[in-house]
Amino acid sequence: MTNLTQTNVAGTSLLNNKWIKAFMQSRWYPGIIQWPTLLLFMLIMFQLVLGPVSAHDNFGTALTWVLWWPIIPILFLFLGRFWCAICPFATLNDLIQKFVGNNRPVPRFLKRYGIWIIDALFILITWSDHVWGIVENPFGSGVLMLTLTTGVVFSGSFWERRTFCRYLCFLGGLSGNYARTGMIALRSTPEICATCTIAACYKGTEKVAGCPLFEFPKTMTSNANCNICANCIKSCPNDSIQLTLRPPTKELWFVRKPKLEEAFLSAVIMGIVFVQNITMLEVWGSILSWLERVTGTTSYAVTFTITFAIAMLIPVSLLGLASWFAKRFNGESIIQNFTRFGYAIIVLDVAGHIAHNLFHLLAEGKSILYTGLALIGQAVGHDASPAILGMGTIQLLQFGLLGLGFIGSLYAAYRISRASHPTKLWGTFVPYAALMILLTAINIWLFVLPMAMRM
Amino acid sequence: MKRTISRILLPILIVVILALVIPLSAQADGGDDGFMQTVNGYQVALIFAEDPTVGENQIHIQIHDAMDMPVQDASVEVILASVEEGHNDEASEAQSHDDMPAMEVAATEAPGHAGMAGMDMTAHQSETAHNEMQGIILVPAHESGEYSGTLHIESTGEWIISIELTVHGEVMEVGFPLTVKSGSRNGILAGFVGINILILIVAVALKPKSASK
Repeated sequence: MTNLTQTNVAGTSLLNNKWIKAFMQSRWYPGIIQWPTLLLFMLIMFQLVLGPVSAHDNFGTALTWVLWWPIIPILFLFLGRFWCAICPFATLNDLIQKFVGNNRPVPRFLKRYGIWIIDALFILITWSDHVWGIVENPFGSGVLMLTLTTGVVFSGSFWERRTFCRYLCFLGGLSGNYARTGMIALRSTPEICATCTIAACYKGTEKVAGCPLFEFPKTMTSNANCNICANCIKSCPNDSIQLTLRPPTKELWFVRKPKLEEAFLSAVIMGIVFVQNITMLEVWGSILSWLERVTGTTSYAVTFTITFAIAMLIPVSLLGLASWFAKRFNGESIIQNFTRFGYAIIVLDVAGHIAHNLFHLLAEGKSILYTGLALIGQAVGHDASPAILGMGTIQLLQFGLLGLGFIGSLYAAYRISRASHPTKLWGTFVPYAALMILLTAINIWLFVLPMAMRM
Repeated sequence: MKRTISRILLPILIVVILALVIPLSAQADGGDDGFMQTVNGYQVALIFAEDPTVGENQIHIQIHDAMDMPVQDASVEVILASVEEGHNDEASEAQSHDDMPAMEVAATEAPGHAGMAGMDMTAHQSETAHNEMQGIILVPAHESGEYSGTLHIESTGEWIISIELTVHGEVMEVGFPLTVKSGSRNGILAGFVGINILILIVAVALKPKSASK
């Protein structure tokens, strides 16, 4: 509990700076970033649906999968879930809600199973990408975007606030987890809120909407569902809201109400990082051939599904195994340990995710320029290398990131052990330390092998 | 204030709607006119009866000699082979070069060139490797020098149509790159637009009066 209180008030609030406060309280924030993002998104959509059929030549593909997707986990690390405040889907949701929104309450099943639905969607979309080639096919990427758009249109039309973002968006689930590593924390001042009875931060005022993600800053202990939209900063009449900087991953050191589905997602993301790397290795062809021989089918859907399932099962099983060992020392059930310590993997998830996508960003990054130039009739020859940095440098950065991720996960596991089982610290911690070593080793091994380019 | 918002939002909404609707008017690529190449003095024209699309496609080949006379009694075989995306660019360039020997186009664009495979995400390599060439023999049509048949295209994407001609014992080959967009693509987009409009209509109809204020 002490930790919680510290989290709420630690550090100097950035809002003490009058410029930052004025900017965040201004009606231009976050619109000044939000609207250009929407316009860019429309250009991307236009390219994906109408542009060149080859991903290699499509500006929309380059912006989405070579720029945005690699940058997004980095944004989470520095700015928490800020992306969700300027996300074009969220803007569309707000627009639709404004004009036709029914503003009905969130259905109970979404509140209850929302994260499981997000888990399932995330797995499904990753699977679809590999089996149907969403990333490689601009129109396929367009269809994915249109599917999300339809979901947003439905949610914005019938349900209140940003129900889609909170309970259905596959990226929202990922960002919720990743935002816990974020270096920005928005919290209230408990002493001020203790006497507050109007809860404008949650409900909103006549001028400012309530929290779009259904958070109540007064009781917030996590940034998983705060997109720093500043609605609460604008609406709080008591200046209670604080925006502080904190060490990255700090929120993971003590999670007040750990949830199994979030812990499961963190393990699943690690599996997805595995599978994203495996399918880009030269050895992937041999693995496929072997699977085809074993299964007796050349169906890629079958062979990939098997690979995908195994890749996800590995971290989930390893986390379960570590939890079983920890149970012998700390007496908590496997599920309790699994749920509590699953969060420690998130740091390695973020590191693995960034490291993997660093390859796309740095080895294929110039394709953004080339496809952009092609849009204005300045075609660049196909012989031109899309690489920004050489493979040696990229690998070095990848290993560095994995090293940091390993340290972060290890330390998070240690802090969780210390907070939850201070008297059985080492018995609890050691199995998870072994888990982090193993997961990091697998990641490093996958990064050592040569990869192919996407574009 | 409301007027200002409307002024800003309305154009944006219109652009959004246009962005969704305009694709409906887009046509599949590469189908409405024919392709033409010259090999060994013979002019070979490939004509699709309709836009090339996934499934059965009626095609016609017209062959004229150097004197622009229709060539009869030719044996015409058409082979359809898929290519990886990386090859497509070369194929397009090849077509734009009028003096490019047609045989080379067909020869260099055959599938399964592992050298370029590395440029694509490898998730679908095995599928690509499994692409098989399909050949059909065309039969003489009503018009002199014209041969026709039905070409089955299995999927959307980049293809090479290789036409093998045998005229008076002389064997020649020409290749035409072809991009096939899904015939159902417009249907998919129309479906999305329709569903979204339907959702919005239902939302307006169900909107509580208190919420519309």
